[in-house]
Amino acid sequence: MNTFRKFIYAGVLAFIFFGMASEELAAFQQTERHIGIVRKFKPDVTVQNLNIGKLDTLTLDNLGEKLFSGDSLFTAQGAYALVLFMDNSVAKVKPNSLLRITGDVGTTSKESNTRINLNKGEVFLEVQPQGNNDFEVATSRSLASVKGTNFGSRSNGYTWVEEGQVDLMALNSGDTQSLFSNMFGTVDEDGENVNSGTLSDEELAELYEGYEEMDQNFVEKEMILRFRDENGQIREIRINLFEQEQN
Amino acid sequence: MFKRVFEKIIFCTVLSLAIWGNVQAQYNVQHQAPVALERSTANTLEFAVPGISQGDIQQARLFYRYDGDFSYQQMEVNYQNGTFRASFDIQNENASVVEYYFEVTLLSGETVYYPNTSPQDNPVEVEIVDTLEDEKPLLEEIDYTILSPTSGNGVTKDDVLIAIALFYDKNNLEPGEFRLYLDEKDITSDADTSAYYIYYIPQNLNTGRHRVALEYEGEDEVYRVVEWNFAVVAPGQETFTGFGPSNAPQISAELAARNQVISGNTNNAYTGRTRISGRYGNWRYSANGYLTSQESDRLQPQNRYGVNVSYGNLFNFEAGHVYPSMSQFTISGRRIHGVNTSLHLLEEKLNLQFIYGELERGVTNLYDSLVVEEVVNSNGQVVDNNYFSPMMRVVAEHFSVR
Repeated sequence: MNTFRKFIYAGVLAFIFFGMASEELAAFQQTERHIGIVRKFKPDVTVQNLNIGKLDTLTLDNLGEKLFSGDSLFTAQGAYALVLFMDNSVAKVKPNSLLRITGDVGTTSKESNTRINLNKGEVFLEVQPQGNNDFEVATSRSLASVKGTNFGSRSNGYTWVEEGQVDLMALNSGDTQSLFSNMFGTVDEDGENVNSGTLSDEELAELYEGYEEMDQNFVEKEMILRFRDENGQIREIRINLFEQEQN
Repeated sequence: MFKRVFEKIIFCTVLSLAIWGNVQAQYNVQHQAPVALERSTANTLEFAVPGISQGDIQQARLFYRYDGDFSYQQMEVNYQNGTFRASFDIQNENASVVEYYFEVTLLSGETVYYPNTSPQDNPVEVEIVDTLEDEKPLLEEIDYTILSPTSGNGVTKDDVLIAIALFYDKNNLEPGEFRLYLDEKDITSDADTSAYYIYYIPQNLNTGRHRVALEYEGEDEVYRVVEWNFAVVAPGQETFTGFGPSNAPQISAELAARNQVISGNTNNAYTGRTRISGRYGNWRYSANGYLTSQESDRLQPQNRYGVNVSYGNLFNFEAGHVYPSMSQFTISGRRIHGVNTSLHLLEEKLNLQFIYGELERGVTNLYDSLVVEEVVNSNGQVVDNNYFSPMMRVVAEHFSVR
């Protein structure tokens, strides 16, 4: 009888402890540092984290929504999202895309590791120089490692580089090729082989189509118009204008 | 009887006080002293005198001195559009405080000051700073990334998001809180200020430039974390910032007339003022003249004129009525009628200056019947007399190597 009681007490205590611990765990997961924000989006965009039961369809009030490690972001038909990571790296997410981001952030802006699992769709990334950190984009068949570059990636493993360098690896074989500016690479369905080639500027521009509306900044420029006045003196008119940033 | 006399005395006293008060309060100088003045920058000091007009003014001057100097230097102040404006360039590299007072001499002979009581003893005191930028110390324990808007860039009105990511070790940071400012306004309470991420979405922010500042209020001090500018833009809109510098001379002229009759005595005054200035490359030139019907042999010069030619910081030549400054123990801001020229070589390490002119002109006494008393020295030579105010000439040369 005593043994039975002891089992009961132990069970109750374990249940209470487990309940408290799971609450603590959820709280910890909620309050840990986020690794990115949704800087700009066009509805419908959904942020989900099954581990903590999070499911948010973003509205205008959610501009600047925090993205934590483990969060998934889904863009519906006609939607897009621009994600800013804490080191100012940018991910432009096209419609009908699903990606999951994981990573961590240290105590300086130079300490962060980011991994994007691209399950569906297409993204274009402008990655800040990473130093010793990791910034990776993974699909079911490829892994692209970058150290600071502008490049695009599709869930089928197709990767193209606008500027900088990307190391593209076939997940199953480990076969790796370095892609440089104006190059593309593909990984076959088995994740065994990497094939690469070059792109013309026109092809590169075509690949960037659809991302323009996510360009976020207007860069200030000064235009100087010089002309000669009626006294023969050279005069200048200065015009300050903000031009939309182009990649 | 005694009571009536007493009442009259009281009445007269009150009336006198009222009249005296009105006379004293005829002109009152209004001035808002700046918090600080910026070194090597053209600071503008403005003084307003309600009720005054161009025709009432004989001259206006700003007297100033640095770090409690013995004497004040002076500069003329122009009257434009109802306001006296002194363009005050602090050229003293070491001074930390400037004291100044303002004086307006009217054609009626009245002088108005700011501050209005004992201005020489109670001048306005203003701190001199190298820059008016916020001098708060930088908090190096906090690293940051400006996520949005990018510094110096523009964003559209409906796309403004202020977001900063912070990186630090909590254990290395003294207790305190972050404060977020937009255009100097504290918006912390409206912003989301979590430990490592601060963001704020302004509503209806006006088109134009804006400034964001993030500070950290510690237990004893307020630290600057980061500040930056951005612009809210309307696509397709541009800003015309004006023509570049012109070589064409700038010319201005003013004419003023005053009619005044006091107790049957007419005292009219007519004045004319003109100025021409311009530049060509590093050369700058100006000429000015002031003529008044109040000019008299018995007074110090009322008519004034002058020319100035300079080449960058290398060479300067002034002639006419000028206000040279050599040192506070010799010539410092007094008006002389003569020439002042200076040459600054080897990045102002070698400096030459020459001044020649009249500090005061001789003025004949009004009354011929005055008994003349001569002042003689030990050799019996006449060195002065009381018949007239003597002319004072000055010749000064200055050579310095730094």
